Amino acid sequence: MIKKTCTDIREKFSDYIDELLPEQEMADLEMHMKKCPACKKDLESFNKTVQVLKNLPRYTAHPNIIVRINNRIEKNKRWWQRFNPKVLKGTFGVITAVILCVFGLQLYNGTNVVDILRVKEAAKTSQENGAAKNEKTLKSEVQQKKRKSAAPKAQTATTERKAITAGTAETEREEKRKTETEEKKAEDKITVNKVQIAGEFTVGKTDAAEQLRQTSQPLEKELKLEYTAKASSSPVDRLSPLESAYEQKGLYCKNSVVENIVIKDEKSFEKLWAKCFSEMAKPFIDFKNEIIVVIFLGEQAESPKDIILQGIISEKDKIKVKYSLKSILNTDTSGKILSPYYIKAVKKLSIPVEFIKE
Amino acid sequence: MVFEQDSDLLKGLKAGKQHYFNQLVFKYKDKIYNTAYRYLADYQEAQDITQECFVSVHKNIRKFREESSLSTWIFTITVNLCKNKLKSAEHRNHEKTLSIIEKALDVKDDRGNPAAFVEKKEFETRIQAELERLPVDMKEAVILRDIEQLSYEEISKILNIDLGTVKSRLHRARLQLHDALKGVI
Repeated sequence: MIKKTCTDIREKFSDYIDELLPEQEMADLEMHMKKCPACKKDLESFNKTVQVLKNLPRYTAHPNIIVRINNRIEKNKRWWQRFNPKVLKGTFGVITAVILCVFGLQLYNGTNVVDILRVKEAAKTSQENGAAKNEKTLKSEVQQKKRKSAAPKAQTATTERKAITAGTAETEREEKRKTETEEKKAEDKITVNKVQIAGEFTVGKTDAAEQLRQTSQPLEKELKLEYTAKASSSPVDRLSPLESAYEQKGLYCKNSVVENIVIKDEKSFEKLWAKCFSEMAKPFIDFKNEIIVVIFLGEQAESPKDIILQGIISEKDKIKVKYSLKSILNTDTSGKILSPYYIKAVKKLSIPVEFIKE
Repeated sequence: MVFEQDSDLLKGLKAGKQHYFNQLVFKYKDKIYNTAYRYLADYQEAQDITQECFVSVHKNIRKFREESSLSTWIFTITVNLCKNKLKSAEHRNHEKTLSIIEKALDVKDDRGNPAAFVEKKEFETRIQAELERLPVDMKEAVILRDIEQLSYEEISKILNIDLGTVKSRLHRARLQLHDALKGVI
C-alpha cells in the first residue's frame, strides 16, 4: 500500500465530500484522517465552506417577471407572427380556394385570361389602325380596288368563250351586259361606302363574284368558291357605313335556330358567345359606343345558304340591316351541318334596328 | 405549485401553447434569476438576464433538438448570456444595484432579528465578494455545483467540458474559497 501524503489527501477532499471516491480510496482517506489531525481539521473546514456555499440564501425573481417576459416576446414578434396562426392558415386557405375556383371556372368555360387579354389588345390596335387611316389612303385604296376589279372581268371573258362554244351567243351578250352592270354596282358600292381596310376588298371582291355567279347560272360549276369553317370564321376588320370596326361571319356555330339578334350590353354578348361560339375567343366590343347585330340562319341541312350583308343604313327612325341569302355549292362540310351566322358591330344609336331580308 | 414534467412542458411549448410557456417560466424563473445573480452580483442585470433567457427559449424552442434535458438547455442559455454580460463594457461600467433594501425584499430570511440579519448579510456579501474574485471558469463550476446543486454530468453538458475538467475546476475553486474564507468560517 502506497503511503498517502497530506497534499495528495487534500486533492481528494472535493471527491470525498461529493462521495465520488471509490471504496478503497475512501477507506484510505478515512484511515489517514484518524492518523493526521491537521488533515482532519482541514477537511472539516473545507466541508464547512462547501456547506456555506450550498446554504447561501436564494434570490427570487420579481413576481411580475412573467408579464415583462411576455411583453418582450410580443414586442419582438414580426407583424405576421402577431396574428393567430389558425386564423392566418384559414385566410390563406380561403384565398387559395377562391383563386383555384376562378381558374377552374375559366377552364370549364373554355376561356382563358391570357386569351381574353390578347383579344382585347388586338381589338384595340385594330380600332386604332382604323381611325388612323385618313382620306389620302382611302383614295389610293379605292384606286387599287378599281384596278383589281379587272380580275372579275377576265373571269367573265373566259365564261364568254365557253358560252360561245355552247352556241348561245345572245345569252352571252345579255350576260356580259349584266356582268358589266354588276361590276359597276360593285364599284359604286365600294366608292359610296368608302371602304378603308384592305381586308374589305377581298370581301367586296367575293361579293361581286358571287353576284356574277348568281346571274350566270350555267357557269356556276366553274365559279367554285370553297368555304372552310376556319377561313370564313376569322374576324374581318371592316368599317360599315355606321363606322364600326368589328365584323365576323362563318358557316358553323352552335345556334341551330333561325333568329336575328341585337345586343346592346356585355352580359348578353357574353351569354350569346358562350352559347354559340364557346370554342372561339370572345372579341372586345365597346358597348358604350357600339351595338352588335347578329344573323343566324339556323341549321342548313339541305341546299345550304350563306348570308350576304347588303348594307347597314341609318335612317331617321331606324337602322336597317339589309341582307340576302346565297346558295353554297361544292362546300366541304366534312359531314358537319352548317349553321351560318353573321356578326357585325354597328355604331350605337338610340333608334331601333330592323332586319330586312332581300 | 405543482408543475408539469419537463417532457410534457416541452410538448406543449413546441405546440406553441402559451399556458405551458407560463408554467415553464414559473418553474425555472427563480433558478435562473439566482444563477444570474451569483454570476453578475447585480439585481437589475440578473432580472434582465432572466427575461432574455426566457425570450430566447420562446424563440428557439422549435430548434431545440432534445440532445440534452430541457433544464440543461435553459441553464446553457443562462450561462452563455451571463458570460456575454460579464465580457460587455456595459457590465464593467455598471454601478451595481445591490442595495440592502432590495436584497431584504428578495431574500427569504428571518427579519425578526435585525442584528442577526445584518450579520448574515455581511457574511453573505463577503462570500459573494470572494466568489467574484474567482476566475469565471472556476466561479461557474461553484455556482452550478454548490449553489444550484446540479450534477457533474449536467455541468459538463452546460459548460461543454468533460467530467474531469469539471471536477478539477470545482476543487480548485473550493480550495481557493476555503483559503480565502478561513478567518470567517
